Amino acid sequence: MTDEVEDFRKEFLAEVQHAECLCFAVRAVELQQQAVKDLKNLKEKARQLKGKIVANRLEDLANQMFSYENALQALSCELEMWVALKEDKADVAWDALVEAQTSARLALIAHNISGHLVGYLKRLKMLEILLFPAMQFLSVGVLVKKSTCSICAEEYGDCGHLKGKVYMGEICAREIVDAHLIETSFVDEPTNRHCRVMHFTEGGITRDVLTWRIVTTGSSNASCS
Amino acid sequence: MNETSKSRGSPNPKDYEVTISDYIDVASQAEALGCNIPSGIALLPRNFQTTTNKSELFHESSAPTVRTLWRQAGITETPLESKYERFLTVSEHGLEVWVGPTILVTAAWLSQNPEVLSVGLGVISEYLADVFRGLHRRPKVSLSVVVEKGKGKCRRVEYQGSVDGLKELPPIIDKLVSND
Repeated sequence: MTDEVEDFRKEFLAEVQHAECLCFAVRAVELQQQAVKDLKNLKEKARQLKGKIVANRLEDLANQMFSYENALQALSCELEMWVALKEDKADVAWDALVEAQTSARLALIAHNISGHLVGYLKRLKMLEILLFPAMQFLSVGVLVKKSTCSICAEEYGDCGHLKGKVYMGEICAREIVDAHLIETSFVDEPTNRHCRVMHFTEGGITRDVLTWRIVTTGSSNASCS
Repeated sequence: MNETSKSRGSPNPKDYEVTISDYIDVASQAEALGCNIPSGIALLPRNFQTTTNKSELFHESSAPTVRTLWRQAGITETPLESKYERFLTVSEHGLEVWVGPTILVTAAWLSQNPEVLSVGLGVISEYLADVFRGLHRRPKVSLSVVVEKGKGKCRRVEYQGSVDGLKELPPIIDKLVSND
């Protein structure tokens, strides 16, 4: 099993090196699209290898594989962001950047092998600042009646799993099963950065927050994609 | 009477703010609401001071996480809830502030277990340092400790600041117990 992981790691390093070389605006779009496919294939390979590792109850290796999966996902999403920007799909580009940031953070939390991703996360933050305008986000306030653990499905808090920690290659989340919405607030740092104001209206003109184009069809002013 | 002490404005990342104020008689309020009366360390619902109906009590959303951390650290809570009872939890702050629960400790329990509050806060700060990794802007921590000093006298220490600054709380509370 360790040999298989070592072989995967070599393949991972080569693929990452190649993909990183393509993470620039000026790189050819067809090369970036091909790299996205290659990264997704390698991620699937990681997922399958993780399955074998989990079957052998090797938690540290399983968490390493989860970290690799998310590092690959982060790079793939960054490339998708560059492709979307070139294709004038600003909303898609934003969502891809947010996914890249989320995945890189998951990789970092999952295992120390991804400790170097602190620098990559800084790069993604710089890209966010340089490529996208400042945005307004939303966050909901809820009164939770019932929530369960995503790992074992028990009531969250009754089991030994902790939200945000990785167990046997899987992140623990608190899944809200029954809740009552109290309010929605504008916040600088939402839990979900897909939850943002998408359009605004001033002087009777509605504009897309990202593209600044005039929006003519009726749609909501904020959305979670 | 409220007192505020601040450690701000320095390049030290351990910025925090502590406010000390009076708190209602926890045992009397617990009895009035029909809750268990905590005798050691416990979590108090956010609206414990103001509600008159037990069914309206709600904890911060962080309460189940803190209880798990404490169980794993061998800290035994004497909760307000009975064995199969659950209060609701409220979640409403995004990632700007991690709102911790209000922790009750009795002075008598503190004198018998002088290190346990430090351990209880330590496991919280270790957990937060771990799950906040990679965030561009680290969320602030907001958390209160209510000290029951006997004869119905309770004082609340409200903390807002960095994760690292949490370790400054136990000496502040010790001082409150001995000098207040």
